[in-house]
Amino acid sequence: MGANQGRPNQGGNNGDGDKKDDGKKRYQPPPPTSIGKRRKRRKGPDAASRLPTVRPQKKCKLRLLKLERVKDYLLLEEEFITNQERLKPAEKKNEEEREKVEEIRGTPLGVGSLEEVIDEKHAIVSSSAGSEYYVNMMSFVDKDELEPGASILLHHKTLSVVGILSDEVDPMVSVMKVDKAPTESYADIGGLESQIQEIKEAVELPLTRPELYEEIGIKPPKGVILYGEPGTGKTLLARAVANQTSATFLRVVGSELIQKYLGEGPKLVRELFRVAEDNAPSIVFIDEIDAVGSKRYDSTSGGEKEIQRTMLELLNQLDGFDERGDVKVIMATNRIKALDPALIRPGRIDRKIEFTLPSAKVRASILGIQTRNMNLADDVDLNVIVSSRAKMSGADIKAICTESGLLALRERRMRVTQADFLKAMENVLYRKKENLPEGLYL
Amino acid sequence: MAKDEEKKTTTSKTTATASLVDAEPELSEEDAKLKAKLDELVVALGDGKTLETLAELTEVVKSATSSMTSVPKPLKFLREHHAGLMELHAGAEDGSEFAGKLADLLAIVSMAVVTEERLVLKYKLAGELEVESCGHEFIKTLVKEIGEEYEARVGGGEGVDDLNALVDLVLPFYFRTRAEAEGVDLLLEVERLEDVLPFIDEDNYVRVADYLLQTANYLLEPDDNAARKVVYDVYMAQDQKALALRVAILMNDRELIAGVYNSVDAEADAGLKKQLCCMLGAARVYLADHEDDEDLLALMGNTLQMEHFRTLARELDVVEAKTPEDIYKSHLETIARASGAGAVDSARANLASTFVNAFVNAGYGSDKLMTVEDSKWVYKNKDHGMMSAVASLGMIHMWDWESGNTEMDKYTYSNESYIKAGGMLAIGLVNCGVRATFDIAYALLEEALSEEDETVRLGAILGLALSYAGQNTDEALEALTPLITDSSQSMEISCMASLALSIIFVGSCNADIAESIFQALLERPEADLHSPFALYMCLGVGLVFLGQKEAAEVVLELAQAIPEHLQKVGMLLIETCAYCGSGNVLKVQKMLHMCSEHLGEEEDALHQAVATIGIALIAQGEELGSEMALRAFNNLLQYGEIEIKRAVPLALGLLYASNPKMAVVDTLSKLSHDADEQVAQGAILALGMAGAGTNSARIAAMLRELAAYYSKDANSLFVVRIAQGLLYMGKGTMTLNPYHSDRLLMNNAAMAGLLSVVFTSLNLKDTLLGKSHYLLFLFALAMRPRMLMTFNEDMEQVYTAVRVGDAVNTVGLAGQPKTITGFQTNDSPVLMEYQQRAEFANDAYTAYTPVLEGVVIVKANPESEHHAPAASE
Repeated sequence: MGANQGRPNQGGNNGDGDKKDDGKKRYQPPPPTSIGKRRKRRKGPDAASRLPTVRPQKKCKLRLLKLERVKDYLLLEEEFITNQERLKPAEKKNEEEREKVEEIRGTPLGVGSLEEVIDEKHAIVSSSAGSEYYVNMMSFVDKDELEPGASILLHHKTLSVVGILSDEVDPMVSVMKVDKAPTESYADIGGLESQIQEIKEAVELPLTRPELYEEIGIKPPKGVILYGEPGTGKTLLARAVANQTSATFLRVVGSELIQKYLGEGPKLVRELFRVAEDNAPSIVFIDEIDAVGSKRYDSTSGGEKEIQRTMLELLNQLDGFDERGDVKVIMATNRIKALDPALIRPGRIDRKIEFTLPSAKVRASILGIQTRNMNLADDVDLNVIVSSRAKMSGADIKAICTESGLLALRERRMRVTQADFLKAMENVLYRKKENLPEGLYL
Repeated sequence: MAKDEEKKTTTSKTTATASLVDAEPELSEEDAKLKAKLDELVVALGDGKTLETLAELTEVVKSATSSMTSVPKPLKFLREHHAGLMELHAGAEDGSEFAGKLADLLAIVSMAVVTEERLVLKYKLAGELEVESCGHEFIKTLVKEIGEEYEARVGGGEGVDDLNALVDLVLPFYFRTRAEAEGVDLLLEVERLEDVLPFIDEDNYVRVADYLLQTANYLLEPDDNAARKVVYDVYMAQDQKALALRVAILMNDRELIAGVYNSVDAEADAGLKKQLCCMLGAARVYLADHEDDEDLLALMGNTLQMEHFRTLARELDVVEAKTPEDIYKSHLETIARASGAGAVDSARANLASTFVNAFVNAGYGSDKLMTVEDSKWVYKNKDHGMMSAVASLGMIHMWDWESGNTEMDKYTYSNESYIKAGGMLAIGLVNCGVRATFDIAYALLEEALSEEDETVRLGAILGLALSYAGQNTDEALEALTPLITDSSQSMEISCMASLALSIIFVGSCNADIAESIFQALLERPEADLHSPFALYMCLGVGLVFLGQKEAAEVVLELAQAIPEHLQKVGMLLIETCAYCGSGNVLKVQKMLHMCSEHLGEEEDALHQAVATIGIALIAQGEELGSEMALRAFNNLLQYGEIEIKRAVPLALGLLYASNPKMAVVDTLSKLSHDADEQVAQGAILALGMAGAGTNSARIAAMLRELAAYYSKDANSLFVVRIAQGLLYMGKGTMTLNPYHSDRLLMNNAAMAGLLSVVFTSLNLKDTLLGKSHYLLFLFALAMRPRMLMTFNEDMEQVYTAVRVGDAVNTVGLAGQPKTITGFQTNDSPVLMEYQQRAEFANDAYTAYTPVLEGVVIVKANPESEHHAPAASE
């Protein structure tokens, strides 16, 4: 039995019992500082003022009681603070304090970057001129925000750290954030009922109603991949998901992840997921994943290798060592066979949703949606298109509708006739089949 | 027709998914068909009122499936016929088969209709009494309405028999489908919790009991104890005696405790019996009148604690004594001490070393200051310092009741009063938390009570408090009461006597003690009440009613008679102590109200400080409460007056004793540099308490930095030293936290010890930093090894692999989730931290209790492949 076994938390070196007396003056490294390494950024303002998580998530009396308890405490807090505010308005106090801080900061301020944190109070910074200094960090600087490489405000004389310039996220990533929700909703999708249900179960519900999953005792899926022929509505569905949830939606196209310089691609992937986590709950949508996710093979080209490294980073982010919180991933491709099997293994991508060419029934509903706002002549019978034997995707149907409208416009008519539709269908399918007219070789 | 029907059901299945697209105004073809069919059926029903159409309709409804969140299609379409169907039902003949069946259907359809009228319940009661065929969602709605209806009817004084009949139908369904939580909720709702018992079996009792036990924390009095009683019954029914005993101890019900204890046969179930004794020992419950076997009584009295602890120390290789300098590591202090060191008076430094030495080597029986051959350490201190120095020897020999007492002989028979007083205190420390069948300490201490010298008497009083804490010793009552009521005694003696007596009778609701203390308070002249010790009298009454909730109300009435100066403080102390660990939000609110007053300069703000600590006291012992209390403290720091600010760090120290959470330690570290001396000193002490016995390197570094920072301030430095001593308490093998047994049970005596020190620290200058530093030894009441040791039925130590990791709250989770996370596997004995839990890593042994903590008796599993290694190596 090892003597050290049962001693899980003997901090410092006190356990070794300084047997050699000369060891007394031995240098002991200081315990690691808690600052400088950005802690996992938590949701909400401060760790201390966060509300406790209430478990179980299942809807039961225990949860109700616990939530009520938390509510009671919050009410107390509110009451207390309102009372205090009445006596001593915090705003005025804050104002005073802010002034004091401003005074200490002094003017003008310099900008520098943090090189290294030495201990709780000191750091090495480099000023814009390039020289490096060992300086004080003021106590009012939020140490949780400090990390090597951050831009900081320096006192003009002593060069003490007096503030942080909030570090911006890579602008590349901030572009990916969808600020304005797309207009397409589920109602704009014809058919695809089972696909909608699957994506809802895998992406939306885990974010909105996690208790359902806990109740049954499973971990919700981490991500889904949408695959199928071109034009079957993969991107459309993703847009509908973005429209439907209030979660942060990050969209990126696979090709965007390929960068000119070595290491930039993987870095971008990391940034992407970091932003996703900071803004959790969030959904990351990677369109055309085959641009980076194709099967690995021995390649001599540096560019090819870089793409593969980007994918490896993606693999790690999807199911790596760190637990991702409320981040769901949707991928879309039309060549699922070309994807690396590691990328779509369960655990990374738990659900594979196939998008097939629409059946006659679905075609009818797509046509219904597309022609909803169109000015149709009385003779139009959409059944012709619906019952056509040609293979048609949703996009084709949309194209037919648009084409027919254009044809009508060409003749300056206000209504689209059946003849327009037939011509449009012929045109669209003709182009699709690479200039082979429909029915030529039947 | 049948074929048609079949087609319908399948379409309804496929179309159900389409209901997700709720926004779509038009109906798809299938939907339209379904709707037409339903319309047709409803009309036919209205015309013919035949059972066949009804059956068909019901079939359509029942065969509907849906996705996770939406309303099934048929229900959606039937919604518009709801009123019509209701009329039809109203017109139908009461009691006819048709009416019944229709009511069943209506109950289901009503689910989709949003009303206030509880229609589901109404029609279910009118229909057939059968629920299971309708599915989970229906039962959920039904149960919700049962709850509401029950409340309404009880409020209106109506009968609830028909509801109960329904409940009886739902329950078997719940318990069969592993929805125990829902079942328990329903029973709670209709106040029939005891009816859970018939449904308990060996598969679900754990879940039911865990759920109920946790829910009980949030129920109001007296429902909480009623729920706990049910848990007790559940455990007893499942023959889980160890768990039942835990609940009984939690309820503080001696009858139940004795009930469990006596139900175990000492012959047939020796291991279990011993395990129960160990648990009772840990909770300091002594059942002398139910047991006369010496070995068992020894276990119950914790008399083996010293032996176990020293074995643990040997196993962990920490036997070697440490000097205070090993703890200070002053060579690591950042600032050169040459300039500052001379400024600090050496008496204070020596005193600090005495305490550090005592805390660090507590229970080991050897050290490098006191126990070495011809130690002169005692004489390096003077006056009260000598007393503490001698007493520190007691702490070093803590729990060593067999030989420790004789070690003290040379001091107890000394002629020097300080040394003799120290000797008395040391005797108390030696016997602290231990209860031997024969008692040599009492006579000695009692005799000293009549000594002429006041210091000796003081030592004896505290000695009694330490050795008989929580034991309700009647002799002590007789011996100490006169000291309280006798106004000719000095205030210090009287107050200490009240404190000591209340520690001995902690949580006993003994009204006599309260009365004598009140009497003393009334008889004392006004000037006496301004003494810093007067607080202890009030605290005394509080401790007697520690955790007794409503039982303290009477005394609170009496407390109004306390002289005005102390009245507020006294009443607050009693109230907070009584609701200690209850999480009662109303009481917290009251405390916050107290704290939100802004007093003028002259007014005494002591009661605000007491209220602040009271918040910690009330919120303790329950996760949510303590986290929310932390927020309250942040607010208090921000808005409160200075007196409150001084109390906040101490409250944090109490709330997080031996549980150094990052957020708390950070807050305390900030406060330890506060401009106000008392805030800073309180924060430093609280740092020590939060880190007590954890060896936390982070806190150690903070304290070293503080030592350098305060190197010129003798008082602050003294507090830093004490904190350092606490941090390395028992060389990192002990804890101060009064909660044990998976953080379920509170040890009253330990809590009393902590509270005494915390309230003492409200006035550091006159007490710990003055002459009364020996009060620090009251920490001994809360000190216990944070270990897990395994023994076989013959109390021989066994080694087995255990996993220790952070506890996970698994209540209400599906399946069999892991109870610990991030675990390490070690061979027992192991140390455990506050939030940790242990489980066996293999099946070599099975324990007699599922809660692995402290001393655990195990049974070898003969079928195991992991054959056990021999006990001695």
